[in-house]
Amino acid sequence: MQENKSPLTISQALKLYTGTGFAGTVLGLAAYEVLFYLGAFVCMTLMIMLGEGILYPEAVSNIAETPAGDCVMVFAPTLINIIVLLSQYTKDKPGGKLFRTVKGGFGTFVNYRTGVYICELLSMLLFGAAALLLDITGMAKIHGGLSAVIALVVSNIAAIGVITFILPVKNEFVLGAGSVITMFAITCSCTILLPMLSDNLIPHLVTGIAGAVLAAVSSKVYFTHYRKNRWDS
Amino acid sequence: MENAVEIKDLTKKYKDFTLDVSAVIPKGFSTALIGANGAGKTTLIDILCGVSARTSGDAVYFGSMTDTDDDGLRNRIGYCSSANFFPLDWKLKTVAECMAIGFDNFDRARFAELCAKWKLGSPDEKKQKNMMKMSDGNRMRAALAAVLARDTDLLVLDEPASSLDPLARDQLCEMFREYLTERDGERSILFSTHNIADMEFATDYAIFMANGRVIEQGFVEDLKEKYILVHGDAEDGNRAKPLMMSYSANSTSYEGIALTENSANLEAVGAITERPTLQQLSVGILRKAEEDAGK
Amino acid sequence: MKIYQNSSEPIYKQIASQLRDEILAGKLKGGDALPSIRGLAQDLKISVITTMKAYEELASEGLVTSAQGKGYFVNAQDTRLLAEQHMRRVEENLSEAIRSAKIAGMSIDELRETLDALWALDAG
Repeated sequence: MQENKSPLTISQALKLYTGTGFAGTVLGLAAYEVLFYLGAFVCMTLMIMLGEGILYPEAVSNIAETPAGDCVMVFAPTLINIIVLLSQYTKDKPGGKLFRTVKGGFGTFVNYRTGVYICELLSMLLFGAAALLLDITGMAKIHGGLSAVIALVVSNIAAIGVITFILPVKNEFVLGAGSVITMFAITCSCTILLPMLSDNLIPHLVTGIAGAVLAAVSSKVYFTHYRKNRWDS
Repeated sequence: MENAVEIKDLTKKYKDFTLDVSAVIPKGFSTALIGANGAGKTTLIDILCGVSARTSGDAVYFGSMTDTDDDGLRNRIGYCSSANFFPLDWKLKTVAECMAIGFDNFDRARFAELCAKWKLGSPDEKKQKNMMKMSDGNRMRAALAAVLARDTDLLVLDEPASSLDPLARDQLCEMFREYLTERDGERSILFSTHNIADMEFATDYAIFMANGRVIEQGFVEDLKEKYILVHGDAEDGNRAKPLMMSYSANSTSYEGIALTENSANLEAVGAITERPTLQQLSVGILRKAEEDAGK
Repeated sequence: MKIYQNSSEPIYKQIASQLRDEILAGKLKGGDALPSIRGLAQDLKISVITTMKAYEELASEGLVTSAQGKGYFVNAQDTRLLAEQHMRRVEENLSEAIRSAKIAGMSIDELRETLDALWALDAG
């Protein structure tokens, strides 16, 4: 049997599976994430304004005083990353059978999944930049500032790495609930804790490297398992 | 005669079901895979198209190709599943773009032409419905248009007719004949169905399946000579029954199929014998399989 | 070509008999190509195997020959063979006429008279 080779590039594979190319996916994901974040932030601000009877700028700085706002920031990209991660196009899903007959076969699937990882990372970077911009302009404040944004990005990588391990779970409810809980547990705690831990970015760096290694290992394990149990079934 | 596919002892084992098939798909013809729900038609088609893995056995395509993981073979087979061939958020435009990436021989102009013919709209239009909003029949048409827009040597269609209305089924038959005529004798079709009546005039070779096995196969005209349709008065039923392959009776009459070699004996006991239609033949053969399984 | 799809006569026989008529009547001459089996099936909206069976029947009667990969061609017809074929058809049709005559209660002389009259009419 050929080793996961595909004549299609990662971008082509991504386009084939999702109907959207590389740039479109990255920008689309980032846009969703930023809009989601803004929506949640406005909601929270309104709640505080009404609850405490204070005005807009005051409410925003209120949020910035505690890590609560950082949690809101975590929600948006985390949730969207999970949704994208969970589309595995198994045989019983619409399109699942078609994808088993296209050029490259399993290799194309591997390229598609790799594309998903890359898109998630790039869209996270874009989102992080946008969140920082909103923080600097004062539209939406982050308690932990730059440190929290970097923590969010690196912890997301780690969370994706961990969730890839549980992707083979067949029960969709268990898989869905499990990955949401895992993702939030990791990203929320990292985003809040890492900035508190130290003033420099060394813990972030460590988390990021650990996350990348984890993601590399888990995706390897995942592909082997998927090929054996889902693709060749 | 040459074969497009030769299937030798192809097996697939599940916990509660075993597929075990040896059959041929003759080159240049349209072959129907006929059987009840759960007979293994989809399993066989999926294995032949590389959608599912086999447990053991071989299938030889076009005389020499055996690896369903080979892009050369993938490009020559036009496969379409029975439902939801495309993700539900795809539009015709997405279909056109993705088919062009997934296969070497996709002709977008031909796809647009077929979409127009079946009144699905145009893949170049601004506003398009996605698959979710299409009716089952239109989803199937879109999938068929996409597969037919590829220049292939073998069409493998899983239940293409089941979601189509009578007019569309007629067009499907027409389309089969067009496909076969376009490259006279070089192209073949395999399609599955549990209702052969509408596809009778587009079927050249029939493979009957029951419980994961092939119970009969052959060219339709030969099968129509091998078997006869038998019916008669209920009174004579008991004398005719031992000579028949499948038999069912009510208070006024009985009917079933028998081997043609028994026709003189059957007529001697008062039976009427006729040349069967493919539909009648299918009912007889599948009923016999069901009776055998019940024993 | 006319095909009865619901007739008790198999479709391949209907096709074969119409082509046979055309060959015996000389409308299709030696060396003429028959329509391609798939093309004819498409035109008649029937299965390919049905037209193929019709052609095979004609081939077994020696009326046509299949040229590998090129389709079927009408054989040059032996005039003696042709005459024989026609003779057989005359016999068939006369037998049919005799059966009808018996049902109608006609005598052999009456039948002869009818034949003479019709012959004269055709010649006239």
